[in-house]
Amino acid sequence: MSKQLMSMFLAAFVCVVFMSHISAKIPDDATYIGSETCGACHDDVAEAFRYNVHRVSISAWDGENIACESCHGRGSAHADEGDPYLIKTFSEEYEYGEDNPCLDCHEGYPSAYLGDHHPHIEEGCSGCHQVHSDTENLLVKSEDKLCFDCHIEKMAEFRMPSHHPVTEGFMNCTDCHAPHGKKSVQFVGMMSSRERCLGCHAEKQGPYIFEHAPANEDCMICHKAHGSVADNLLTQSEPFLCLSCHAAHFHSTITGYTGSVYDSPSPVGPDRGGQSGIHSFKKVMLTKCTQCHTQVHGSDLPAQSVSGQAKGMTR
Amino acid sequence: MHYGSLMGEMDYKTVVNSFSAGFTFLGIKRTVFTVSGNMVMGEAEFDPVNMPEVSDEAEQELEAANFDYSEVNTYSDLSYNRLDLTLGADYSIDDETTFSAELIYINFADDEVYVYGDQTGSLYVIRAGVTFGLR
Amino acid sequence: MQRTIKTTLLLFVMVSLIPVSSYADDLVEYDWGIYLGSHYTGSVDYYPRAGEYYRSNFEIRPEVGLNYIGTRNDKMLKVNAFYYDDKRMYLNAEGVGGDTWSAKLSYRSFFHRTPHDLLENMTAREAVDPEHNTPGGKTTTHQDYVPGAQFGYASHQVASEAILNLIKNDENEVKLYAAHKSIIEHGDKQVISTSHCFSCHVESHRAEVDLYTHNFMGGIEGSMGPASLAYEFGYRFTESRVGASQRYFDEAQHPIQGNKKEEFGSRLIYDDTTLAVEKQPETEKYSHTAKIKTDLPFGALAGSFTHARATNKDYGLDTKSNGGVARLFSRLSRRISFVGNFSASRIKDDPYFVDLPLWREDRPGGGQDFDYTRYSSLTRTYFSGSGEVIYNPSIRYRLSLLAGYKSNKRDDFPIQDAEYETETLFGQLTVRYRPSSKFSGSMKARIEQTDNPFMTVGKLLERRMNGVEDPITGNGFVYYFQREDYKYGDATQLPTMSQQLQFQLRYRPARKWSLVGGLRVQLDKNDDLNTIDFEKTVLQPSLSTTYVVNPSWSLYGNFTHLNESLNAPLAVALFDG
Repeated sequence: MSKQLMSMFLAAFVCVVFMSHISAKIPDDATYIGSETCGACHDDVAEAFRYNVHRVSISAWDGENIACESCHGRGSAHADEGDPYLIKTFSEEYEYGEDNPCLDCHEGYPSAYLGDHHPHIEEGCSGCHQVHSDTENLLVKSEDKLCFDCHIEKMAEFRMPSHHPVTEGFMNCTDCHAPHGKKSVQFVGMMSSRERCLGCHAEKQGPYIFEHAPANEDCMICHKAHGSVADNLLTQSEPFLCLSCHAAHFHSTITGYTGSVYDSPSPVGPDRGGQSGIHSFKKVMLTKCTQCHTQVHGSDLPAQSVSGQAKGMTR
Repeated sequence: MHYGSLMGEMDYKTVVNSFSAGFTFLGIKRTVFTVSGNMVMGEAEFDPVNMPEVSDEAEQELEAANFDYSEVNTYSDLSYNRLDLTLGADYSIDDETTFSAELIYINFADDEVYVYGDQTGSLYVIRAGVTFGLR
Repeated sequence: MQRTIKTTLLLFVMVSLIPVSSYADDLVEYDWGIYLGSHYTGSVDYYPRAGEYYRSNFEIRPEVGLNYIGTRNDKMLKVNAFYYDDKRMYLNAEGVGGDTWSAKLSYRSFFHRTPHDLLENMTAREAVDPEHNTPGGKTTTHQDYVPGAQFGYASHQVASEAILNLIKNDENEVKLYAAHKSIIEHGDKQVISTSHCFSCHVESHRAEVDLYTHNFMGGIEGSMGPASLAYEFGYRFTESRVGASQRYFDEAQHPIQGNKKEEFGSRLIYDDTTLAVEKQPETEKYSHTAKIKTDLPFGALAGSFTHARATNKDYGLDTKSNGGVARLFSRLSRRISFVGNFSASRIKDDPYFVDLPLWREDRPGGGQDFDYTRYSSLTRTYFSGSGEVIYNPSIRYRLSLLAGYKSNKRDDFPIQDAEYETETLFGQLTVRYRPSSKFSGSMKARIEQTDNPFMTVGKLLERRMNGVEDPITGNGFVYYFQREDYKYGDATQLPTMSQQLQFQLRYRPARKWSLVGGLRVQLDKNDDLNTIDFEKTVLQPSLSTTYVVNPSWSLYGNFTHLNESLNAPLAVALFDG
């Protein structure tokens, strides 16, 4: 008995394996039957498909919705005989590479050939999209969860003390990234990553009279895109980051006076007091450079010093 | 007077440990419970700087100067812990009506005060509502 | 503006709620749902950092949500909206009209708190005789005019897009498309500014934020058989609708010699006056892009050319760029493909003449003219080319090898006409392996070798000045600007050699259990600097697991560790200026 069962299972397995590689053969005389007919048997798919964008956008509307058959082929023979090989189905292999049926319509994604984001090249479109669903962009799950499934370390970065508000739901990965690869060539060459930041932070575009060269070069020299421990998404906290390229202010060598900054009353105005200590000038100069050099992205307003050629970016 | 430059070297380190965990439970009829939590511990700082010796001449001439940079690394130390906790429950009153409740708790611990003062504190949000569906 | 946005959105929601009117033979379906709720936000201790994106109001506030989806024949409308509070809400709407048109509208807003710098470290006075703690003239003081203030702004983003298919059949397609995105930030912020008219005085004020950024894009795309052509126009502008913050800059005094305005004031461009601080210019940017794509017998070719101009409207400064990109896909055999990428661009920024008053005019040895023309570090020529060979023996395996070159020649950085050129050679090997549904893995190794990475060139250190070699007539002091000629020493965090390695393994030991593990390692090095040998290491392992106990229970857990270390110089001039 068990041998018979085994044989049957084996035969069934062989058949399934063999048949799975046979392409659908839709008879030439098959006709369109309409999506309602399809839904009569495939009710679960039809329910999910009710508000699917494909249902209306590829329906070839002529008094009857034929959205199902736009992809699966004319269905009369399949409906009459119930034979699954009389209708087109899409296996993983079918979606893969140049036979990908999605690209019949979505040819506007040349990145399917030219892009570099792997899921749709390797796993087919269904790695990320559920073609019959009514979800946003037909995604299999919400965008952040979908991306974080593979990019675990990015999820952790978005939870760092300083981060773009992706986990809060106020931004999406696709606000910055093109998931189908580099389809946009709106911004050219070296400028692209800077331009991507300026899409939202356009007030830092310039060009400025007084420039900070790294801000022209690449935002990522000083900033991290996803998250950072340092404030303002800086790669490291100030002053370390600034000191990587600049010398410390030479006034940091000044020994501080121990006592009140001004005896009361101050000769220069009210409320300019406070206590000074031996290391006070180091605390002034080596805690946070942008407390004085506030305009690190560039400025049109001159700093005060003539011999410094107004370049201090303090205004 | 001018005696050139003094240069030391700094070593900076960022260490972050991030944990997330959660579950979804559909155990009781018509009710869904969800729990998710995230804990992030981040530190960023540089080691004490050892500046080289200043020449005797410079030390004599610049007698009012202070070349002790040994504590400058402490001015900008950062050490943060953040906990996010979300508890949620949905109860389907009938096929078209669902009652939802959610508690969000966020705790931020600032262990190294930078220029913003001590930012340690917590925030919580309690949410509840009903969804009606009509076809 | 905000009222206009809210009214528009409300009208949109109301219109969308109207059930799709139907005719006898029309196929009409619609669903809608509404959420009515409330929330209470409370806090303990200092909440602005924990609640960076929340408002703690200790009140019960209502929430409303709406979902609508409806179809009539080949038309569909979807609306999804949520009101959390008046600074946090969203709306997404999408309409599709068969294969003729589609349109999307989205709005989202959120509140973002920004921190308050207490400036407590900005207090110092020099000791001219440290041994006897004798106070000197140089000081740093601060004044926070808004103590205890909490700053923040609401960010509103409105985006829309529409596509109209003018012609669409099996052979040809012509479509018009247009898109728009506006970001409006409204609230307040801390403005910090420094006056160093004799000693430094740092002030903190509150300033209103009312910033508008608008992006518009439109184009036409036509396909004829295997070829398609497109033209795209882009326009962006930014403006602040509040005036810049103002502050008073002290009357100049010599910090040591006291009230000698003529000596110290003559070194300053302005003093004893109230001026704008932190003023962002009004800017705009135009771009015109032509695109072409064609299928080839052995693959496909795509390319584009863009002309763009960005302008600082306050000063009439332009950045002009022209550039092109080309990509070639070639199927060398059934299992081997080649992708070539080429791009070249030229960016030119207007120079600007900076007119300055004479330095120490009418003072002994003074009268020097520091006027100069600012040549931009942005002016450059960029080129890149790369080739990637992709080998797909089967759906289970993929191997790709990428190699390329890029160069970035800057006309005027670090000095005018220096033509500082950064050249990078890079190579990358990617392997993906999916032997079964239980196991998959990927590995990426990348190496980049760079000559002359972007850096501070010759400015970090100062050679000793043996006295003043070129003294100013009338005095023997060393002035700040005289040190410029004695500077040397390069510094950067950018490597000449970068090696990156990334692994990810996915394992599903059982149907209910999956594990994902990853590791990223990066080693950067720059030993070409004449100051320090720069090194940076990044180690980032991660682990994630999901376990479905039964249809009722599912659990997940993630852990990520990041360890990043690097070094940098700490340089300081030995100078008693």
